[in-house]
Parts: sequence; C-alpha cells; structure tokens
Amino acid sequence: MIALGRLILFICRLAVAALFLFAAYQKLFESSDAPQKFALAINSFKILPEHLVHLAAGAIPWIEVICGLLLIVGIWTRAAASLLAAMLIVFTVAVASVLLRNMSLTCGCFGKFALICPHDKMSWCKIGENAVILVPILLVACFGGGFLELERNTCKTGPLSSPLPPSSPSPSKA
Amino acid sequence: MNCLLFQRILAIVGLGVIIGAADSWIRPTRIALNLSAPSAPSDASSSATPAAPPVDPTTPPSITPLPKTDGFRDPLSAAHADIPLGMMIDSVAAKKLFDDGVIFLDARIDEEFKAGHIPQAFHLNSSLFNTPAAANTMKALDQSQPIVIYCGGGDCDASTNLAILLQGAGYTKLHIIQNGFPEWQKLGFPVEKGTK
Repeated sequence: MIALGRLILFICRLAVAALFLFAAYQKLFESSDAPQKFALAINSFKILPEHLVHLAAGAIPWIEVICGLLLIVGIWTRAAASLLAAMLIVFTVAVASVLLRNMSLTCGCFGKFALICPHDKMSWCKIGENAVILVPILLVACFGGGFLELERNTCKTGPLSSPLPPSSPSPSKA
Repeated sequence: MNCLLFQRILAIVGLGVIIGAADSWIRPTRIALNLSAPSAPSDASSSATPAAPPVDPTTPPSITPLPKTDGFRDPLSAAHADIPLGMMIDSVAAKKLFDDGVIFLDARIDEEFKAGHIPQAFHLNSSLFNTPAAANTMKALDQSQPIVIYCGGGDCDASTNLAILLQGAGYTKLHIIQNGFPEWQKLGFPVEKGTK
C-alpha cells in the first residue's frame, strides 16, 4: 500500500510538472508575442496596477518553469508544489472575481489550448478545472513527491511532515 | 513555520522574478499595456497632413486622431468632414466604414461570435492572434488599409488588446467601435450568425 501511495504521488508530481511546464511554454514561447498576450490577459482582469502586471507577466511563467523542473528532478518538491497551489488558488480567486463582475475575458492560462473548459471562455467551469488540478498539487505539497525524490524529508515534525516513509532507505539501514 | 519550506518558496519566487526580469530585458519587443498614439506619417507625400497634436499623457490614447493618408477616406458625412476620425469611433462611423468595405475584426470569444456578428467580420482575438488557427485572417489583413475592431463594449478590453497586438505588428490604421457590438445591434445595423 505504501508503494502504491508513493507511485500515486510520483505520477501526480510528474503530471503537475508537465502541466505547468506546458503552461509556461505557452506563455513564453508559443509565439513571438506570447509574453505580450499573457500580459494583456492579466491586465484584462483589472485587478493589478500596471507595474505589477509587468512584474507578474514576467515572473509567473518562469516560476512555473522552476517549479516544474524542481518537481521533475525531485528537489524541493513540497516547496514547489506549495507555491503552485498558492498560485492556482490566487488564479482561481481572480477568475471568480471576473465572473462575479460579469466580464467576458479569455483566460490566457494555457495559450490557445484547453484542458477541460473551452479555451477562450472564462466560466465557472474554470473554477472546477482549477479545483481538479489543485488535488494532485496538494497531494504532493502535503505528502511529498513519492518515488525517485532526491530530496530527503528534512522536517521531522509539523503539519506538512510526510506520513509516508522517505523515498529511499538510508544507507545505515540498508 | 515548517522547516525551510518558506525560505525555499521565497527562493523560487525570487529566482522567477530575476529570470523574468532578465527575459523581459533580453526580448526585442517591450510589453505594451496601452495603445500607443499613432505617429504622424513621415514620408514626403503626407507632408500636407497636419501634424498630430502633442499627446498629453493624462489623455487616453484612444481619442488621439489617426493620421489621414492617401486611400484612407474619412467616412464621416460632409457635415462632419472636418472632424478627424479617431481611434475610437461610434457605431454610425463604423457603419460608414462597413459600407466602404473596410475589414472588421470581432475580438469577442468564439461563442459570442457565433451567436451574431457584423457581416463579413473575421473572428480574431488576442489569444488567436498570430497563431496557425487564425492564419487565414492574418493573411487578409493589410497594413495599408484601415481595420475596425469591436468586442462587447462596456468593460470589454478585447478590442484594445487586439489593437495593441496589431500595433506591435505594424498596423496603424486601427479603429475600435467604442460601444462595441451591442450598440451596433441596437441601432439595427446588419448582423449575421455562424462562423467564418
């Protein structure tokens, strides 16, 4: 059962990494004006002042890249997953605010691609989609990355401590 | 809190900000969030055109008049011929451009476009811009010809966002229907349904 749990965490970790690396690629390299499109998409939410739109448009895709790579490699997995979870929650609140203001916007989340909801329509479906994505992220954030995690669990206590054993046995016990 | 978790999160965010800033600095094009005021034509043939007035930074760029050039007719009636055609136009001025055969771009989402749009309008919004899915539309656009863009009016930014992308690609003769498709429809101007 423990092995199955670690396998599930491993699959979740890789799936989340792939998803956010793909999202970052769409925001950075999908076309020559991809960063411009992403900045306009953020600006359309009418939540952030312009200077913060520039900051967010520049930083968010690269944070997604870093988190994706960390999750694949298996280093700092909980920190990466926790950060992605926090970002996704913020995105979801922003989407909800847009819907409550009855604005008609495109998301800009995955470029021209769609996961579950239509890519060019912001709807309550997007909230559900984000909730689905949040599940594997929270699993990794809470329980670690499962198999092939290079990071040893350095936390012995605390709410985020892993209930699962470390992914690799220590040499002394081997 | 929990061990190094927050330090690590901060490190990731910091690294992301640094790389993002470096990436923005390296990229050849700067991100624009507002429409830039059209520049006055610099060629000799347009020297008779009055220079564009200095742009007041407190004035929304949307009301800056477009420079008139050959082949870019003022669609307003003779009674209003002295009023320059601005970036933002109303539906009546847009209808005159429509009658002149000017290209219209519908920047709304696909569902709204299918439900009803200005006849012959192309569906193009910022997320479709410059993608293979919109290749035919991009081919139909001519930098030397005026283009009218519209979305849902009100708080809708889709027209402005598309206009910013078009400006970045070198299109200068852009007009935005200020109150968008709802006003066009309200005035009883032609509407068609379906896709194009």
